[in-house]
Amino acid sequence: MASLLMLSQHLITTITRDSAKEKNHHFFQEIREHWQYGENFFSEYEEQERFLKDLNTNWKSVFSMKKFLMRYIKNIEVAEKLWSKQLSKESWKVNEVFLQARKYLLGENQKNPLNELEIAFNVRSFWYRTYQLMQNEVPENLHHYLEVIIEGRLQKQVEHENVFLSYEDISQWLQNHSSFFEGEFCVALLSKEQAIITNMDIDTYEHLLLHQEHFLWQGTLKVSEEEQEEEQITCYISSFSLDDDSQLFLGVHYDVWFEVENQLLWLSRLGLAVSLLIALLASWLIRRRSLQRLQAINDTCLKIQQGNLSIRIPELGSKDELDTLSININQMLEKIESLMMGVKQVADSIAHDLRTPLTRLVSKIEMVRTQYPDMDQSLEEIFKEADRLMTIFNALLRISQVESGTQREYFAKQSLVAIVSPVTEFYEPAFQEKNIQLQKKLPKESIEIVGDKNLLSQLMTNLLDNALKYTPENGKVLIKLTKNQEVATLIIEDSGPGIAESEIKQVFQRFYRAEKHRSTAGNGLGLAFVKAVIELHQAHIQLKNRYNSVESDERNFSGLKIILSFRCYE
Amino acid sequence: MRLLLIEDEHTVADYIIKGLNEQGHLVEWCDNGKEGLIRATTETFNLLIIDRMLPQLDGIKLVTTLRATDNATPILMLTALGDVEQRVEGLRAGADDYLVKPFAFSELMARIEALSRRAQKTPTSEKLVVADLEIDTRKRQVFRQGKAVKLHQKEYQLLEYLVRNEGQVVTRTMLLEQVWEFHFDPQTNLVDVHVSRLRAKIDKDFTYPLIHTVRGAGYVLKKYQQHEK
Repeated sequence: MASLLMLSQHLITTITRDSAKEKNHHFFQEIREHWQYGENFFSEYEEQERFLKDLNTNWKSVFSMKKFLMRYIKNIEVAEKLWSKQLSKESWKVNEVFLQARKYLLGENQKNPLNELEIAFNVRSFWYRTYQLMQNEVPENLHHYLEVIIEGRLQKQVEHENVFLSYEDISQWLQNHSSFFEGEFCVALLSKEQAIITNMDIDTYEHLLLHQEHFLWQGTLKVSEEEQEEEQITCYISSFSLDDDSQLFLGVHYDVWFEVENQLLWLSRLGLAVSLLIALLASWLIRRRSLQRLQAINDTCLKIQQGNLSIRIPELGSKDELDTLSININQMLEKIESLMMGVKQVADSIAHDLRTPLTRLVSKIEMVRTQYPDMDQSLEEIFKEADRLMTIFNALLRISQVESGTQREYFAKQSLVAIVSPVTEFYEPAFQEKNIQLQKKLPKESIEIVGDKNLLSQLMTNLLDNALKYTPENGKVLIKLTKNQEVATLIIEDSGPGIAESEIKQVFQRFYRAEKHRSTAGNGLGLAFVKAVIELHQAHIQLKNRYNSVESDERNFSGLKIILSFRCYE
Repeated sequence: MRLLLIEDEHTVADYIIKGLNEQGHLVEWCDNGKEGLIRATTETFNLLIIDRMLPQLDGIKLVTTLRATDNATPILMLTALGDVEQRVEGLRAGADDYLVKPFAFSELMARIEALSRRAQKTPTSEKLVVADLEIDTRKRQVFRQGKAVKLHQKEYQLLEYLVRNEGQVVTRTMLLEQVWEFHFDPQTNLVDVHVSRLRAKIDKDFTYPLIHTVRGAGYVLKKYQQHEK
């Protein structure tokens, strides 16, 4: 940016002498026009600035950057020239305007010195590239030449203060690149002495000088000596002042220029598209990666829920939020597992230490009983108590065994009807003795689930045992098995007193006994076992109190409704 | 009877030996699987009682090896509590019956009796006769004193099992396993209900009963001497 200001001052000093030729009226007209131009230029900048800002978050588009810089440089040159020609006395004002323009252009970016540096760097590297182009090869089209000239000069200006681009430089370069005069390009080089090198068919050069920086020219090109065919063409011409006050006019066939413009536009759009694509791709990759990791965490949690406590979430060591989460979950699992192991070890050792003496106790009482059948009633009581103790103990151990989830490895395909039916039959005589009406609604077709037959039979036994126990004489019990798509539902309803709503959640706890049934026989482990088996099978159980309902006729009884749902085997 | 007990828990072994001795059986004991295998193959026993978990040679492997040598001695397997799946493993390996620890001594006795009896008997016969009770196992028909008795399916299965183990104590657990295929303790007295229903059909209207309750153990089907007159 600083170089541009230097350049403006340089130009002011070099071009002022030409002002004598111009008429005041014309100049003021021109100034107004250029003011308009400058305003357009600034509003265009605003747009460019927004564009850049958008791009700034993504990858910077090289092409749009280039276009931006090109316009910037060109427009500044236009303004510079105008001001320097007409208002040399007010050069300081010009400076101020440029300073303000610069501030305006940089806008918010000014807060960040890095951005300024970045732009400066890009400008310099761009200059350098075009400078190289000029030294080595003929660019493909005139637009490049324009760049070459401008950038070449700026390059020299920046790199070597004392090196000028003069008439000699350009004429020599033009001679070396004679191909330049063929095709759609037009060139005119005017020195102070009016020496001219051109392929343009023009009589006087005065009107060339009258033109602005960029203008359209209609005429013919001197293609070669032999060819007399002359074709009227329209060229888009830019003029440049060289360092020794000579003027260079470079033009390109309007169609070519138009095409180049289009290409540049296309390139900038492509650049935008590419950068957007890259941004989308990057965000998609990041999203997918996060989703995959979340999925892994989710899977692990599911497996743990299913009883495999030893499993861990893979840690990537990337130290991001997800990895920290994984590490924390793993540490938590480690802790839980060690606690569980502790509990299990205590339970196991209790089981091991108590089981044997308990068995021996029961057996010894039993032996005494058989040896002395006439012993008094108290021995019988002792035996019963010991037996009860053993039963509770076995039931407890069975529940913890089910809860451990190890039995899942023995799961097989089971027919629910084949499990429910025999247990119901087993209980039938007992219901009959209490004169309870037992309704069975079992489907003819087989309903298959995956599970453990033994545990499911025992679950059924426990539920029917409860129904038998709590249903009063002359009551009703309904057993209904249905299948709805992938879910098998087993419903057991009784006409017993139900469970108090406040206690419904607690009945699954070990040794919990509903307040009003404390006197009934039982150990409070039946439903705890049911719950353990249900969880092992990843099924659901729901207890509901039924009240006398008017709408249905045959099931018109109040009581407890137990709903079990299993996922069917497909 | 001469029995071999292979059990590593000394206390358990002690009380089994003591109990069986009192019942008049001769019990040999070793506390590891390897020695157990050697003794079982080199000596002759009426019955082997093998624990599932044994040092040096696992109970399942012991049974498998023993059966591979064409040794047909009846085997009763002892398994840890609730390992019903191991029961399947044990039976598949070649054991004849299993018993879940801890067990009542009467249960052990009943199993031993049943096993030794089974070993002596020819396994199947079409007609089973106990006193004046006749069962045609092919047609599943039951006659008492020549009169046909109509039984439900489970009642019939119950009776057939009792008859096949005539004179032997049959525990409730054995009945649950054999008749209902419940390999768990349903913690109810429902077996008694079923037996009393059977009794109502088989014994009630006849001169003397055949099914008797054995206190603290189970049931036995036999004709007592006093009824012969």
